Order: sequence, then C-alpha cells, then structure tokens
Amino acid sequence: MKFIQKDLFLYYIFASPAALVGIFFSVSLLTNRSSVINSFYMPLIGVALATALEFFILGLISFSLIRRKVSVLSILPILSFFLYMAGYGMQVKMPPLTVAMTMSTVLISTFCALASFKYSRASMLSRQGKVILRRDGPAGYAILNQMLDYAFPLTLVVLLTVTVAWLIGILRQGFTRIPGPLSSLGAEYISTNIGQATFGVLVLGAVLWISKQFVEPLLLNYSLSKSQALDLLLSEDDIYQKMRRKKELKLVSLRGWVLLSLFMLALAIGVTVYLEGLEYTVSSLRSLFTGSSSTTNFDKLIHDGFNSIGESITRFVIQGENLIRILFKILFG
Amino acid sequence: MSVKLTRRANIVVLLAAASIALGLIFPSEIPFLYTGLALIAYYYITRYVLLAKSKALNSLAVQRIHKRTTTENSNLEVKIAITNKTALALNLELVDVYPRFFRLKDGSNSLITSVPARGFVELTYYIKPTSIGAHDFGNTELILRDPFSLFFVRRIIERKDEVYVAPSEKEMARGVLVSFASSMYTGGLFSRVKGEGFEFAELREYVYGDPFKSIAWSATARNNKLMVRQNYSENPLNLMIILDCGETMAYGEAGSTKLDYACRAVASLVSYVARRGDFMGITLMRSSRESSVLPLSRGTDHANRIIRELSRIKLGTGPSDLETALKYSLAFGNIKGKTLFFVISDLNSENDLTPLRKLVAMKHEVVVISPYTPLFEAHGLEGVERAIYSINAAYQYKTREKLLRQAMKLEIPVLDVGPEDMFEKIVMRAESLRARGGS
Repeated sequence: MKFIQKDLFLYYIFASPAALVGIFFSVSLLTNRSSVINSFYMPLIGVALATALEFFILGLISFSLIRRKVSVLSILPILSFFLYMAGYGMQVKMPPLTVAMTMSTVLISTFCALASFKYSRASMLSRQGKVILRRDGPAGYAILNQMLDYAFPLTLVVLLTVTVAWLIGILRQGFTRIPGPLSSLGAEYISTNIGQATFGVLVLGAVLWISKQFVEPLLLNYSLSKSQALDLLLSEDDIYQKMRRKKELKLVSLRGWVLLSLFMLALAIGVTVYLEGLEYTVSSLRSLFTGSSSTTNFDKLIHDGFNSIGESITRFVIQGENLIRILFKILFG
Repeated sequence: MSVKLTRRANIVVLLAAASIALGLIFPSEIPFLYTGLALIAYYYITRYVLLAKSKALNSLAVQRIHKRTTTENSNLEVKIAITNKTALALNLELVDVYPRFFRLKDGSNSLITSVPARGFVELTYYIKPTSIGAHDFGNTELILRDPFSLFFVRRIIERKDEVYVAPSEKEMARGVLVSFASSMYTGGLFSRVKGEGFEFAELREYVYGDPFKSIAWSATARNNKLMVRQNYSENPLNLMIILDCGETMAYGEAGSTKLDYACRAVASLVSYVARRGDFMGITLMRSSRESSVLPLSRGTDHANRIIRELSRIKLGTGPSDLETALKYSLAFGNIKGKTLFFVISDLNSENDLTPLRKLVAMKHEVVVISPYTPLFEAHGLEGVERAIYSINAAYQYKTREKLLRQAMKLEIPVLDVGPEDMFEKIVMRAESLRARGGS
C-alpha cells in the first residue's frame, strides 16, 4: 500500500476543501434549523424534506470523498452553498464572511476538487503495483510548460473579461448616439444587472464565436495530420445521412427564412393592433398599399409603434427581472 | 483525435451560471457576473490550449519492447518507451493493455506521468502467462488532460503485437527424465522382437537364409557348427500427434484448460521422443483449411520446432475439422511406414471419426486421447462462471457420447485422460507399440 499513499494523500489534500465547505454549509443549516424555520412560513413536510436533503448531502459528501467521485464532490459545495443561501433568505449569516467571500471559497474549493481528479486517477491506476519508471529530460522547459498550463489561460481569461467589460462600456456609449427611445431604452437596460449579464454573455459569445471561426480551424490544421482528419471524418456515424441532412437543411433554411419573415410580419401587425387598435392599423395598412392617405399617417404609425414597442420591451424586461428575482426567492428563499 | 468533454467541464459551466445568477440576485455584487463570464472564457481557452497540445501528443514516439517468446512459468518484462521531441511537457495517462491470459506480477501497466519536453519516459512492468500459445497485446492508450481535467484528448496506438508462450521447462525435463528411466528398465529403443540392432539377444544355429554377417565365428568354432548371433531389434517409432485446437479445448480456467494440459503433455512427449530417437510430427487440427502440419522428423532441433509450434497455437475460429486435418497430415506429414496417430481431442465438437478408419486401413495405429471434461473442471471458477462451465460440459457430454459410440464401432481405442495422467498414458501406448515391433 505504500506506493499509492503519495497520490492518495494529495487527493485528500485537494479534495477535502470541497468536502469541508459542503459540510460547513450543511451543518450550519442543520444546527440553526429553528431560525431558518422561523424566517419562512414553511410547511412541516418542507422542513422535514429540507433536513433530509441536508443529511443526504452530508452522506453524499462522505461517499464521494471516500469513493473518489470527484465530479460529484465538485458539485456539492455549489449545491450546499445555494441551499444555505436559500435557508437564510439569500444572506450569509456569518459576521466576518460576506457573500463575495463565501462564493470565492466555493469557487476555490470546487477548483481544488477538480484538481484532485488527477491524483485520484493516479492512485487508482497505480494501485496494481509499484510503478517502475525511468524518466529523463532537460528541466529548463518546466517553467515554460507551467506557464502554458496555468499562466497563459489565466492571462487570456483576464484579458477576455477586460475586453468584454470594455466592449460593454463602448456599447453603453454607443447607445447615447442612437436616436430617440432606443437610446434611453438601451442605456437603461444595460445599466441593469440582467442587461449587463445578457450583453456580457452576448459579447463573450461573439468573441468566442469569432475565435472558434479562426483559432479552432488554425489549431486543428496545426494539430491534426491528414490521415487523422480523415479518420475523424470517417468516424462520423453515417456520412451519407449527414450529407442528406445537410441537403435537407439547405431547403429547410430557405423555407425557414420565408416562414420567419411571415411570422415577423404577423407579429409586427399583431403588436401594432395590440398597441394602436385594429381600426388604426387597418387604415394605415390600406394607406400603405393604396397610397391614398398622406405619408404623415404612416410615419406617425411607425414612430408611435416604435415608441410603444420600446416602452413595452422596457416593461417586459423589468417584469422579467422581477420574475427572475421572485423565482430565485421561491427556489432559494 | 478530438478534444472530449468531461462531466467536470459541465461543473465549470454550472459554476459560471451560479456566479452569473448571484450577480443578478445581488445588484451590488457585479464582480460575480464577470467571474461567471471569466469561467466561461476559461472553459473555452482550456479547450484551445489542449487542442494545441494534442499536436505534441500526436508526435510522441511510443514503443513497446518485450521478448517475442517466453515460457509458462517465467515473467515477461514489458517496457513502454515514450520519446517526446517537442518543447512541451505532457501530463499523460498511460494504459498499456497486456494479453488477456497474462497476470501482472510486478510494476504497473498504467500510470499518470509527466513526459518531459525533449525527454523520455520508460515504464516497465512484468507479466506472467497462464496459458500456452500465441497471445495478442492490446492497444496502448495515451490520455492528455488539462490541469483541472475538464477536457481530454485520447490517442490510441493500435499495433499487432504477439507473444508466444511455450510449455514450461519442467514439462520438457519430465519427458527427458521419463525417457531416461524407461531406457534404464526397458533398454533404449529395444523391443523383445529380434532383428537389426546392437543389443545381444541370443546365439542359435544357422538356418538357411540367415545373413552371413550374422554368423558368430567364435561360437561356430566352439560348437563346431554354424552359429548366428541374434540381437534385439531397434524399433524407432513414427508418432504423429493430431492436436485439436478447437474452441471447446480452451474452455475453463486460464492455465488449466484441456488445451493447456494437452500442450504440456505434447511438450513432455516431444522431449521424451527426442531422447529416444523416434520420429515425431504434429498436426494442429482447426476448422477447415486452418490446420497446419509439422512433418515427421527426429532430433533435438525438430523437437524445438514442435515446441515453437505449440507456443504459437491460436484457437481455431470454429469447430475443428478432423477430415481436413487427416488429409493434410497424410499429404504433408512425411509419413512412411507404420505410424502411431495420437488424436488428442475432447470430442466435444460435432465431428466425424469415420476418416480415422482410413488410417486403420492403411495399417497405421490410431489412438484417441480424450481429455475428459469433468476431470478438467475448473476449480478456480466460481458463481455464474462455474455454472456456465458446468452447463456447457453437460451439453457437450452428449456429443462426446455419440463420438465414443462411433469410435467403438470403428474399433478405435479411446483413452479418457485427466490432467495428471495424460502424458503417462500417451507414453505407455507408444511403448506398447514399440514392444510390438515399432514402426
């Protein structure tokens, strides 16, 4: 057993923070059950279920730590953290700790647990016998490789996040330049959390999508040999099916565009009817086709329509935000 | 070779979602929002870094070094050498699949290690065979992971790599010792039949037709009448073994199958026969057109050739075909004169023994040596495996009964043998033929 102890020891070193964080949150909730129950109008069955869930999580933590189920163990700090937050009405009731500190602890412990996988796997692989290994090579490349493994991705991540923040700033400024209701709508929207989140994800998605279009083919071209690329291609389930699907997709996409346009038109008309009334819409549409009516009527329709749409979107967004908040409250307290 | 996702990568996405959600819930905690975005970015960047590193994985030179042949009781040293010519060190998971019927004795065939940049790694492990014959190594698998094991790239190195396991030296020594013991008690190659040879038998009076060279002149002078010297005849045997390599011969516990015992007995017999100066050949009986023949010959070199052939035995893909094996044996077996055919078969596959009648008609002697399945019952098997083995043995018993009745009709002796007495029964049968005049 001596030969597996090093890897096993390292596994426990890296995995235990996640287990401790999970245990900490669960035990904290279990020991202060009365205060948790008092803060909510929870039915008795709900309390029993919540208690059972906490015990279940505690059991799961022990099981995953001992049986080396790293994936399960990594998810438990997040789960127990959210349960804890739910229990205390989205608050951290530990005076020196704030939400930010607690979440950072959860993040670090989860990543520690993820790092423990390597040692868990190593101990499992070498349990059959002592590894007889001979290794040699210049040590000078070690720093380069550590940088590539840790520093390089971290730097890129920071750069990318800063880029996203910068792009959001540019977008915010850009909203001031566009006319009328859109600028106020956009500025108001982007200043909210949900707006920042949506824009952040969208901008990051765009950056990643662009990198996928350029970086990934470049990397694939660099890392795959011709035969491997061919193998990869041929390893697809059924090339014929794939090609046929692609062909069908082309037809569908054309039809799809037509349908989408029709749908958008119907939606626009529907929204106009909803906002301005049927009579007004019909007369405006008639004037659009017959040309008998003055253009000012149609302009007014467009202007009013956009104004109303903007207001409605703002209303919907605010309602959406409230809805999400309510959802979180329902789910997590 | 593409980058594959793991469950742990999904956890990072979940963590990102959780961070973004917290950013939404707490308007003052906007950094959470960016932490979430950073986690998503990390997810993708790690993937790209791994994709770039897969080039280095692809260019690793991997070699498996081991001896091609080994014997049953000796350990085989296997080395996996990985040479990295790139400037990237790689944290690899290495799994080398050794043959199915080998057991790991020392070291480990799998590990996680770092392959240094412009360096090499050499993993050594020792395995021991349990069964005789040719065994295939499996693939060598290299898995490259990122530091948090979110993604992985797998490289599978497929290569045809065989190792041949010959019967142990103990079996050969047994044959030699039995041969030595037999020559002490029965005297070399001699039978009670008088004829050409060096061993003196008796003196008798000359009768018409006796060769002049056999006249014993000193005895003639003493007795004043023509006397001839008679010797015991030397009777080298022609032995052709027809060994069934059908799949039923390999049922049971690894190392204790009928085929394993049969191979050991043949190895003992070969060394025995080589010492006695007899001729010996072997026909490996498999399904149609897969049979192979090593013709009759004698000497140590030929014995080694047969043992090498035994070490390369591979199980047939279907039931063995006796008729084709006999045809091959007669056509390519260099059979001259009376030959003793040992057919070693468990008689468990649907076969027709009628072709053996042809051998009897050609004045050859035929004996069927049949390893009796219940005697080879795998005591090491347990639970479901044992039940399957028993059901299979019971089912095959019907086929065996049918073939035994057929052999009886053909007047071909069938000897039921167990793991311990197989070699002795074969030797006894060979010596009885020698006593009756040999080939």
